[in-house]
Amino acid sequence: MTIPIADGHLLADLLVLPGPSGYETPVRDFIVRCVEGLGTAHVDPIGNLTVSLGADGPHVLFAAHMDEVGLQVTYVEENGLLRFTKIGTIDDRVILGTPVVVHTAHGSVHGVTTVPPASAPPGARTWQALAIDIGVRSRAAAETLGIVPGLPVTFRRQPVLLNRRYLSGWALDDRWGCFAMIKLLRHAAHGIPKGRLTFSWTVQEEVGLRGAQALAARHRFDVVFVIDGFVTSAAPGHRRFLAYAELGRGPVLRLVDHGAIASRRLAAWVEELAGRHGIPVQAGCTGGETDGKPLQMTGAHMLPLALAMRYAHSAVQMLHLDDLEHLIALGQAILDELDGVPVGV
Amino acid sequence: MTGEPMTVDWTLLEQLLDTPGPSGWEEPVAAVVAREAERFAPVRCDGLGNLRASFGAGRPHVAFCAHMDEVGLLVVAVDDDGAVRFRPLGRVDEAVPGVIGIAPPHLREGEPTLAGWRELAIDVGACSRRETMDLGVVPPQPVVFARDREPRRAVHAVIGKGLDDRVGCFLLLHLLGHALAHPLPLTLHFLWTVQDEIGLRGAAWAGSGSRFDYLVQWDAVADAPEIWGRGVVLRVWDEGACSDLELLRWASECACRTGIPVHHRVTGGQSEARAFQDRGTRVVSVNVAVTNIHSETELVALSDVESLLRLGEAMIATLHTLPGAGAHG
Amino acid sequence: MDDPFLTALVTAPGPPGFEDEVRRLLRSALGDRVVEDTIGNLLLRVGTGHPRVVFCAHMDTVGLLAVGLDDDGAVRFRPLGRVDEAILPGRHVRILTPRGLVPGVIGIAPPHLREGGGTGAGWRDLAIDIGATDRREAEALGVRPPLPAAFAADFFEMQEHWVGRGVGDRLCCYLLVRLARRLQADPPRASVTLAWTAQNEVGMRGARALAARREHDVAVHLAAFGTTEEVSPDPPTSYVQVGQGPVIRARAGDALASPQAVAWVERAAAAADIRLQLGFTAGESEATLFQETGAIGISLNLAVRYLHTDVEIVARQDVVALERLLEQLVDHLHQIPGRSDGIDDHSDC
Repeated sequence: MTIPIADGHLLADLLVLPGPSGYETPVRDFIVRCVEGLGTAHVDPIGNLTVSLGADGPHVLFAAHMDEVGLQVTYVEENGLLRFTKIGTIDDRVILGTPVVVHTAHGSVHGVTTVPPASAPPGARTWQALAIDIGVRSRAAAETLGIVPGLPVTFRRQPVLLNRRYLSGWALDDRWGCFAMIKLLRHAAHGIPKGRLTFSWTVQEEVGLRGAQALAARHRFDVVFVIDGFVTSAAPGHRRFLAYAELGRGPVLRLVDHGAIASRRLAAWVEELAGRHGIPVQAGCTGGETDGKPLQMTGAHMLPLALAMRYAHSAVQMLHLDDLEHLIALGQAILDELDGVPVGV
Repeated sequence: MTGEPMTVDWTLLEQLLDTPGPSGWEEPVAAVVAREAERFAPVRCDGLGNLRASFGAGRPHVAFCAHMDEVGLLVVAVDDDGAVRFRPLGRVDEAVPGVIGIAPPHLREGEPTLAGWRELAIDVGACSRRETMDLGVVPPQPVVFARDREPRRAVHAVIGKGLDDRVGCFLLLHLLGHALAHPLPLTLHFLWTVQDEIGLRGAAWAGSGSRFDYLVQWDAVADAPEIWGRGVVLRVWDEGACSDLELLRWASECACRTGIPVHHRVTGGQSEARAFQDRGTRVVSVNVAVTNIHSETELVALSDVESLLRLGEAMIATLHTLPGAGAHG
Repeated sequence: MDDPFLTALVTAPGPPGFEDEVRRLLRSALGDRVVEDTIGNLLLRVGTGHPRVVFCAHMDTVGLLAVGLDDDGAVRFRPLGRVDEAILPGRHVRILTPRGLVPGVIGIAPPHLREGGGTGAGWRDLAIDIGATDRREAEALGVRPPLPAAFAADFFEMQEHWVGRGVGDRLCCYLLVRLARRLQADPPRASVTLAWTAQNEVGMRGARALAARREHDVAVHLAAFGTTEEVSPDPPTSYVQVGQGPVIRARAGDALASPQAVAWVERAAAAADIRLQLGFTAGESEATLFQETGAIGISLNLAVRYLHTDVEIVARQDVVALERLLEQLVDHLHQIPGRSDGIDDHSDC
């Protein structure tokens, strides 16, 4: 599909690559190709991709996660149905009756998740009672297709554009962030970096921030910007004010969530900078956690630069393209003025 | 040993109780701590807000720590009709009692409207979003439980909110003079941490930067009839960590020598000891029993506070007897 | 069998009462001999004489009706046909406006913000988000309720199966198109009506109107049969399986398939070496409506897993077998027991 923003084809490609937590290789390989030659690249043992450039100045990290939520095959039944477990937090209703793709060593196998009828007894619709139906009726047939326990499964759904500027679909969280980081790295590499820059595309965020934890265990940063979503409750017909930020009113400084309280000093610096550049920003509190939680513990001033997103972790999660463009502009402005970023106390 | 009159600055404890400082927004209480501590030693502040004062030199490094933050609420949004939506910062009792106030820049009293914090809103007497925000309520903003009265000192108890862990902060401030007066064959750090109630985050930060060999964590535990007013509680195990057994014994013996009754307990919850133990520090958690913990009407026995202070003083006087201390430096 | 017309027919939006797109496709395939009646059924008659046989399949698929706009741009809706409320949140839909299809999504509260307890949201608590920030913007996009909306699901092949929303019933429509071409090329010595009926999912209204005209002696209804093979209890329906052949709906609620029709079908199947399954359902079929007006009727079905969801599954071999069965039936129209030489019409109509 065509996403109407600069380099939109990169984002479109990123959105369809499979990469549930722990199985991010296709996404990482793609990003590696996109950022070739822009800095010193390194993949650590858990799978985080890190690109460094610049030598003098504050040590600043930009981080986004490559993984998405998905499923994992746990067992192949005699009758050819596949039992599974969740990768990440997913509402059971979203799993009912939806197309999926099983990723075998030799390619993709299409399937659907089962959906017991509404009249089925209670408990028949919990995720544990469901299975993946790939259209075969014996274990042998499934195995012939390369299906074995442990294979990752993604939800299959083409993204959709609503009202020209709203993008809706699986894997938006956090592929838009990976895309934004590619743009920011290109911007940084284009000039002379104003700090010691590290761009890290992390793994396994959805299953406990594991990539970021590994990163935090081995590095010290002065400043950390996490590029991730801001789960908003502000949606038509929904109770607005549980976690409030509006789509289309600019990137969101995610000041408080269940994992961390961001650096208010860094937030103030970003707000002032955004104001000078005419970039709209919002600030808010939401639920969930980001990679910022462990990364803040390296001693850094930490702030997530987020996009308001509706309907997180479903086939219809949604963001506003204006917000994405503004966030990239904000990131570029931050890079240009990095010598003034607050460091230390 | 008991019965010796102690010079205890109770007004300082009351001042600490009266100063707001919910997790993440500890600045007001940190300012009070820093001002008091600076009379004895230079106070350093790290990027997250933890405060530290150090005495002596060389190894081993011993730390006494307490957390400055209290449980509170966080304003997350303002509804169209002016009601203020919030959620807990730290573990808060679901049945939010009584009156809720809002921390600086304004202090206004409000009423909860329904039971259960998810359905609750703080009514600040405004009829619209604009009006509420004009009052200065702009999310995110911390909220502390308001005090309708001055902190009360009954004959045997102090009543107030935030005893967990202002009593620990108070203890550390009280001990600064002793630390200064005693020649120390090691380095003694006093550490006032932030964001304990929302996941021991201040301790994790501080712990990531430095390595302490020993840590005594001073905190509060929920009371039980047999311990309230009857001495200090040594936390053997909680949900986060197991105290170092030799250190536990050392603390226990220290208390015995000083005539302070001691109770060994397995408790719920977690303390900052866990964050330091993860980094290789030997830890022990020394606590005082607090009734109605995490509410606005906490109670602590005066005699227990005095016991805690005495124990702290005795420890400083005998730090050189820490198990394995001779092996360092 | 893989042809673009099949894909277009299966994926065309067509909520009950708003089957225009499906009708348009069918007309383009069938030419100008097809007529539309007042309720929206499409009818094609071939041949003359007796018996008078109708083959019908329904064009509509369960959908939604946008009924109002909120000030914040939310599009409120109600179901058109029986909708499983639990699987509404988090789905893609398309609203059929006079200016074209407007995509939207049915929102779902994110797990990050829900703390404890499920949200048993019924359709009354849900809304379609089309990316409008207020009522005026929604109207500017062309959404002025009341307007129909269809679920936007993928249609794809999976291991010799077809998967998608409403594939079972639309494949039956497709088989009727192929049958029509066959009959037009080689007209039968009987009156055969091919009927693509409307508004089945909201009370079989199209078929009801057609049956009331009492123009037919025999009715063969083609439709999807929802299997319950994945939910093990419930013996009467659990024996039908996808891939095991066309299904005779022996019982549709209280109505029995006419024994004469059953005998006719079974004989035809045996002659062509087609294995049949026997199924029992609780709900009525369109054949029942014709039976109520004096005709004999039978419902022949495609076994479908996950009926009325985004991921209905039909086996390719079942579709092939059903087509062969239909060909047999039209070749042996005069072997319907008791109906080979016309009916005794004792009615006064």
